[in-house]
Amino acid sequence: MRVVVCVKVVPDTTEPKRLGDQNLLVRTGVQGAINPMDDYALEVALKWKDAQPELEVVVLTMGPEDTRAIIKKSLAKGADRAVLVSDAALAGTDAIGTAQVLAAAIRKIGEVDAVLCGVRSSDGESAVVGPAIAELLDMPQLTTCKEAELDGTARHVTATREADGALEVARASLPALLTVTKASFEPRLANFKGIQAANKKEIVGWTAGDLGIAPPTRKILVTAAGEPPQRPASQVLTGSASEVAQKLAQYLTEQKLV
Amino acid sequence: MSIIWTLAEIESGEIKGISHELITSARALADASGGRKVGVLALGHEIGGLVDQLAAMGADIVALADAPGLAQAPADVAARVLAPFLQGQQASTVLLGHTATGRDLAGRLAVRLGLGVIADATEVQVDGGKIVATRSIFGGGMWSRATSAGDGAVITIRPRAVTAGVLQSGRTAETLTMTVPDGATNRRVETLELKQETGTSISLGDAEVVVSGGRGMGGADKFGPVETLARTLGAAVGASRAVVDSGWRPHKEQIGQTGRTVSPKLYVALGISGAIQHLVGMRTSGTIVAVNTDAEAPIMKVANVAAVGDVHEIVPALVAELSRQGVGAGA
Ligand SMILES: Cc1cc2nc3c(=O)[nH]c(=O)nc-3n(C[C@H](O)[C@H](O)[C@H](O)COP(=O)(O)OP(=O)(O)OC[C@H]3O[C@@H](n4cnc5c(N)ncnc54)[C@H](O)[C@@H]3O)c2cc1C
Ligand SMILES: Nc1ncnc2c1ncn2[C@@H]1O[C@H](COP(=O)(O)O)[C@@H](O)[C@H]1O
Repeated sequence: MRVVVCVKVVPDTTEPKRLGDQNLLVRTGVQGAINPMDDYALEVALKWKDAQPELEVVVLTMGPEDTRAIIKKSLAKGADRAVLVSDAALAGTDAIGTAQVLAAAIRKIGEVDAVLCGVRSSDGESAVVGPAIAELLDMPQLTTCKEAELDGTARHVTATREADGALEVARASLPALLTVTKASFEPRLANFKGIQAANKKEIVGWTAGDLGIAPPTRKILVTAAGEPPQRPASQVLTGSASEVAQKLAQYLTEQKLV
Repeated sequence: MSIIWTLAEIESGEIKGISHELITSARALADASGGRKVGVLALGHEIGGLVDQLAAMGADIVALADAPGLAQAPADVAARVLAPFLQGQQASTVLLGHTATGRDLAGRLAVRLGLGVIADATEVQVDGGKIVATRSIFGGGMWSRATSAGDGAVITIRPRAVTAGVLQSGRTAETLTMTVPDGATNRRVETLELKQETGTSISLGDAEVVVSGGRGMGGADKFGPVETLARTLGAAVGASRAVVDSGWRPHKEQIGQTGRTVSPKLYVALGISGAIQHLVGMRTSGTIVAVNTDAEAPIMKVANVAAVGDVHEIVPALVAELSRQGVGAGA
C-alpha cells in the first residue's frame, strides 16, 4: 500500500508577505513552514503507518529548491521518501495548474491507494487543489476530514468529516483523495532518531520534463492588488460596565446591526 | 453572448440562502455585460417545483437534472452530470458558493471544463468587458483582483459577501433538462452516519452575526455570556483556537487560519486577544465589536468598537439593555 501526502511550503504566517512581479507572492528568501493543514494530513498518514508499518508514505511538494530543508522535517517525522517537483517554468502556476503537476507526479509515483491533502493552503487559500487532483486522477473525494481509517483489505477509507453544521462519517472506495482539516489530534514532532533517519532518506527532484508535461498555461491572471482601505479608527468605549453596555447597545441600534 | 451559470444549492428539497446570493451576483454580471442571461443549475430529485422560486431570485434559465441518485450528490457525481451539459452550452463563467458544496465541486468542474478557478471572491464585477473577481488575501491584509486569462473561470463566492436581491415574484424562467449520462450517478462515496452537533442551530457559514469567545471567557462553563448574546442577536457561536485546544468548544466553531473564515455583517469578539491567526479568519467582517479588559489587545485596534472591560459584566448588561429595547425578545 502506498499513500501520497501533498504538502506545500508556505510563508510563515507571522512573516510579512510581499507581492512581486505580476502580483505573485514572493516566495524566495522568505521564512517558510509546512502549511499547517498539511501537517495534519501527514499525521493522518503516519497514524496509518503506525498501525501498518509496510504502508509507504510519500511526501509530494511543488516549490522552489530551497524548500528541501523544510520537507526534510516530514521525513524526520516518519515519511518514507519525498518528491520535490521544482522547475523555474512552474513558478506562478495557478491552482488548477498546480493540481495538474501534482496529479502527473502522483501518476509517476504509481500505484497510489490514497492521496492526502490539506483542506487549504494558508497562502493560496483556495481549497481547490485537492478536489482538482481527485478529478484528474478520477478518484472519489472526502473533504474536511478530522480523522480517517484506511482499510486495505476491504479497499476503502472511512473518515469523520466536518459537513455544514454536522459531523459526517463517510466512506469512499480506494483509490481516494482526502483533504484534512485541523484534526482531533496534534501532529507529532520529530524525535532524534527520526532526524538521524531522515539523513538517509531520499528527496527526489523532478522537473516538468521528468513528468512528461508542458508547464501548465496560467488560466487566471492577477491584475491588481493593494492594501485594503484602512478601517476607521476604533471607537473606544470606557467607563462602568453598564455605561459601556449602554453605549454599545446604542451603537448597534444606530448602525442597524440588531 | 454566453450565459452566466450558477448553481442552486438544494438541501432536503429547499433552496439554500447562498443560492440567492449567487443568482444576485450572476444577475449583476449579466446585466452589466449587455443583456446576458443567468442560468441556474439545479441537481436533485423531484426539484421541478423550485423553478419559480429560482426565477423570482433572478434566473432566466433553470437547467434541471432530476434523478433519484442526484439528491445530495457527491462532487464527483455532480461534476459528471454538470460538465457535459456546460460544455454543450460553451459555458465560460460558473459561479459557485465558497461553501462545502461549492468548494468540493469547483476544482472538479474546472478540470473537466478546462477553466481556471478563482476561489473565495468577495465581489465580482464587469470591468472593460471582462469579469473581474476581488479576493481578500493574506487574511484580509491585502486584496487582489483576478480575471480569466481567456478561457473563462469557475468563481466561488464567499457566503454573505453579497447581499441577496429582492425577490420578484411572477418572474418566469425557461427550463432546460440536463441529460444524466449513463453510470453518472454511480456512487463511490457513501454516508454512514450524520451526527448533528449540539449548540446553537445557526451554522457559522450562514450567519449574518457571529459572536465568538476566547480564553478571556475563563472556562468551558463560563461561556454563558457568549451563548446568551448569540441567542439575543440571532448569531452563530465562534471560538478562538485557544479555547478549542483547551476543549472548551468544538473545532467546528474555530475561526482563523486553522479554522473557518467568516465574513458576517457583525462579528463580536469576547475575550479574544486578536492574534494574526485569528484575525485572518474574520477581518473582512462588516463591523467588528470587541470586548476586552486589555485596551491594548490587537483585536481592539481592528475593531470598529472596542469596549474596554470584563465580558462577564459588560455582556449581561448589554443583553439586558438590548432586551429592554425589544431586541431578541421572544428568542
Ligand atoms: C500555526 C498556527 C495556527 C493557528 N490557528 C489559529 C486559528 O485558526 N484560530 C485562532 O483563533 N488562533 C489560532 N492560532 C493561535 C493564536 O496564535 C492565538 O494563540 C489564539 O488565537 C489566542 O486565543 P485567545 O485570543 O482566545 O486567547 P489569548 O491570546 O489568551 O487572549 C485572551 C484575551 O482575553 C482577554 N481577557 C481576559 N479576561 C477577560 C475578561 N474577563 N473580560 C474580557 N477580556 C478578557 C485578555 O486581555 C486577552 O486579550 C494559531 C497559532 C498557530 C501557531
Ligand atoms: N505547491 C504545492 N505542493 C504540494 N501540495 C500542494 C501545493 N499547493 C497546494 N497543495 C495541496 O493542496 C492543498 C490545498 O491548497 P489550496 O488549493 O492552495 O488551498 C494544500 O493543503 C496541499 O495539500
